[in-house]
Amino acid sequence: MLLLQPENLLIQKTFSKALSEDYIPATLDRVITDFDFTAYHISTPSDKTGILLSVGIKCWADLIAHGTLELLESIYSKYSSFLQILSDGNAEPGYNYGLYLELGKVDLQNGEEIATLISDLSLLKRNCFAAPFLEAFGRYEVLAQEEPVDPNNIYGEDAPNNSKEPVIALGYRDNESIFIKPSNDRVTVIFSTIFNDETDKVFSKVFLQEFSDARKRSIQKAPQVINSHHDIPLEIQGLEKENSDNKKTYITFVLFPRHLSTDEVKWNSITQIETFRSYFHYHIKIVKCYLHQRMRFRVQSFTKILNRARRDVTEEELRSERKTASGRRFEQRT
Amino acid sequence: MSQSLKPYLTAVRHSLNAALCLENFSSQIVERHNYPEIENKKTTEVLLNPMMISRNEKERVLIEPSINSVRVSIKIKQSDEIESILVDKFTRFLNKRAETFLILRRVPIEGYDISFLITNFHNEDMLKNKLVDFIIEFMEDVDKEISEMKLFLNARARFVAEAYLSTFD
Amino acid sequence: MEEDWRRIDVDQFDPESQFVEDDLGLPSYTLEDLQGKFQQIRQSIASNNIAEGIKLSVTDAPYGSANDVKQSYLLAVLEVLNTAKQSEVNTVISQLSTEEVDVLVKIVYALMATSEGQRSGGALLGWLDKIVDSVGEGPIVRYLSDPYRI
Repeated sequence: MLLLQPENLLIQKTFSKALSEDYIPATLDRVITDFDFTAYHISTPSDKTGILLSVGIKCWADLIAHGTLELLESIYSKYSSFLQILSDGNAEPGYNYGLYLELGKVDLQNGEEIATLISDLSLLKRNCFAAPFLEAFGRYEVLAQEEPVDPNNIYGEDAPNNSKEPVIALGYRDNESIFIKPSNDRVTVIFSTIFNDETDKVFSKVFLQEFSDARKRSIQKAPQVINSHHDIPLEIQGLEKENSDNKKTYITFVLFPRHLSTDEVKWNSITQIETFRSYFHYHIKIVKCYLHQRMRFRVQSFTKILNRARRDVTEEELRSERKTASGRRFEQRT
Repeated sequence: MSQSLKPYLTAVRHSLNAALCLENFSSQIVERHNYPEIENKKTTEVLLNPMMISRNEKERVLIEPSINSVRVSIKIKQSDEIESILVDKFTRFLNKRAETFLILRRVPIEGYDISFLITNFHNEDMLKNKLVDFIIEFMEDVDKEISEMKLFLNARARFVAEAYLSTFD
Repeated sequence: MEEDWRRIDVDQFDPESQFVEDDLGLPSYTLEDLQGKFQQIRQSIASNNIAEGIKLSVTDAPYGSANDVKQSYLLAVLEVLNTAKQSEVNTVISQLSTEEVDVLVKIVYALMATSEGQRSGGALLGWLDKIVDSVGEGPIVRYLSDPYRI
């Protein structure tokens, strides 16, 4: 598995089972965790045919400030005949948002519609995080209209009044954040991430270097990736406090109009960008794992060489091989 | 094999050959004790002159002979941050498995990455020339392994980055 | 108390167990004493006479002197060793007596322990390699137990 899936597999499994024809209603109580401090709770609070899916996200306050509730409403309201949205005070205690599905009332006819419903449910986390991105993309469109990109500006320098544009910040983990900044010709997404392990940090440098180089080398269509290990990028200097003890690493993605053209492309960009941190950390772990295996193998071969050095002739064998000067053997007489 | 590696390894081989001439020697300080003299260094008359064989500033071998033990410490080439991390990981991995390695010293001596401690007892149940072969082969393979791991890391990073970025089309 | 008294090794103060190295009666040279020799070595380098330079270096090495004197002596020899061409090495070695080769090996080992010597490790290893090729491991074995250290 090279790329991470944006949907949650366990939710997908649970609901595809619940919505299949031969489902025998059962009591459910499952807590599922996802990346970036996201927790799901699937339960049947009153009776077995009513499934409640609750989600808790660490940076919920940041998200609703940028229109997450409206976005979720627009996605899930089309199922309103059997799917009840529980937000704010109505959500399960300890969680931020809930979707209550009554199996008996589901009136979707063909399998395709059911599949869409399942995928919409399993993409709940992505949808929550998508709102700020969509807001920024919207701002970009407005800005691009107001002030079209100067074709002479070949170096792609930021127009001066763009710096006033507010930056959206999402504190998706402890001390790690996503910053999104729209401007008239691009949308900049900055991740800040922390490596606790010194080794991971060094490996991350190698990885990030390749991320930056990949675009120059072969994949011209990809967003531009800029990384900085200690310095706070210019865009967010007002927001980020001092990078204390240089622990944080900043990764900047520059999304060009190409990545923001149609709805489909936008959603694809959002989906990929969101998984970046997990993907990045995940692959560093994989590399370490592989290197470990390799070392294990190498150590084995060293042991083999060393064991070859052992004298496996025992004392008795030596004695039995002893010969006289003329080449005759000693025979033991009993 | 690079130009200077061969004389380096042969120099280590000859020096080890000369140093690995060990005999049983009971401690003169504590009765009924018998320990590697090179480790406690209290009986100076049984310690021999140490030999340092250096290929360059970053790669060297220190051979400290004594009457009943020889300590061989190796400094592995580390030209950048990644290599030094890989060397560190690799030697730590080895040190944790010192039990199966018999001659491996559990902690490398100051300034070196890995140390071997060969006592007369090892020399008694292992063939001397094969022991020397082992150390030489070890030195060769470690270098190779480290550079291969580094190449792998870069290749993997490139692959991962390209796989991720190509999804943006 | 500054130090944990239990950790003090009292045995090392026992006069009976002290090992006193033999007094080798070596003269202690100072840097001034050696200037003349350095001059000669430099001249032989200038006239490209490596065999001469090596011969000079391996006779009367300053064994009993202070460390900094030894150090500058080693550096002078290093220059000779570095100027020698690979092709010359064998002929130079063949002109040396057994004792002189022993001293040369000693100097090479001592040089490899210094940072200056490590920088030109390749040349030194070349010398050691050629010596072992032509006379065997004898000099190394003799080096191990040599009380005349440099």
